[in-house]
Amino acid sequence: MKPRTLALAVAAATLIAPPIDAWLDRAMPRLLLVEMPAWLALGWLAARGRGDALRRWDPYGAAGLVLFLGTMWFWMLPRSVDLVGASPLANQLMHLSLLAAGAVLGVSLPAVPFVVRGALGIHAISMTFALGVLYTSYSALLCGTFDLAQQKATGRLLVGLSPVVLVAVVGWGALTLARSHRRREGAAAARQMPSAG
Amino acid sequence: MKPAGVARILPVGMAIAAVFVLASWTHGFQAFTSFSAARVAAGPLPRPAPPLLVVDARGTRYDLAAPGPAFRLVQAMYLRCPDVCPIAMANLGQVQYALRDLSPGRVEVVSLSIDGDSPRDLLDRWRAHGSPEGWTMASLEATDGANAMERLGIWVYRRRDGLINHSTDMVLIDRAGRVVRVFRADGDPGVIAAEIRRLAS
Repeated sequence: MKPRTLALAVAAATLIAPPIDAWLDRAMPRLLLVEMPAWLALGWLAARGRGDALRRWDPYGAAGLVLFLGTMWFWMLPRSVDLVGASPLANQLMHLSLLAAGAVLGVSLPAVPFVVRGALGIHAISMTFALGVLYTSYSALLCGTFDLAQQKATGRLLVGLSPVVLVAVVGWGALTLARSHRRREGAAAARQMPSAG
Repeated sequence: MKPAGVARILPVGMAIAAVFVLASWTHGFQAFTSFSAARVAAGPLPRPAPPLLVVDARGTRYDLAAPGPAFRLVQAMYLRCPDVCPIAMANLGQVQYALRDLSPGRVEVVSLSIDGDSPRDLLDRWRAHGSPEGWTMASLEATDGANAMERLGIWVYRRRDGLINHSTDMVLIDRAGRVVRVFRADGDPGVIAAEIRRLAS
């Protein structure tokens, strides 16, 4: 087994181990801000450098993107978050679907045009901030398996996280544009260069 | 089918599937929380209230949903609730106060314990609220209590730490034993009272 595969398998086994999984599920901030991103990241890392077969059927990454967004929307619904706490089967389904969503995103995103990736980034910034404000300011319980203190703590963390997401998305966009600009300049310079001989 | 053909159809098919799944899970994009899902799943209004076998603070046993002379405004609670119930009960108390000329004969306000609180504890709490006539404190007795509450449109979840998360909606049962209105607990007590007065008059 390759070291990367082994490391990912160990990480997945750690996340799924009953005491750790139960500890992550018990608090809303841990579930939403540690467990869910961790499964997405595992899927993303597992798919890195793979996915040729998937790209053949989904060359523009559109289907992958729909799967990723649909999965995220489903698990961001308060009712779905409650289901994770109330049903062990739903909990395992969440692990599996987020792992798959992360993998599919990892394969699809490079095939998606820059503008769409930018729109996704803006969507991520606005959702992080909007959810944070909602959880912080809403006086009633949204996720019924937790309590108001955890809901507000999650909100504060999401609001705090949103500038980080903003910097990451803007930074990624600026770097991508700069790289593209350098490539274009390099190509133009190559065209202007007199041919040897 | 060739990959190029699949590439065109697959995203559209998946988008349709995603919308279908989300629509069915949220009852047609109406219910995004467990609380609202229980409210919608209970069915459209008016609907028959499920049997609610209770024991009140005086030890009397009866079916809260049985047809009777008064409208009953029911709100779930439990006495050791540390946060939401006292606030919700305070709002219910304001509704009861606004309707005091109609109670207990035509309108009865009921705080319904979903935690098997004893009549003695219910009586103590009722006295702590000033022994208001027309405000009953009762405890759900049915063994399938959670199921009855679910059929009433009230979501109940027992947490691992022993506390109970539940809807605090106020459910109005008419004289025929039908659920005719569901009011949000944070609604304006004056508006809620006016609507009940209109129905009960």
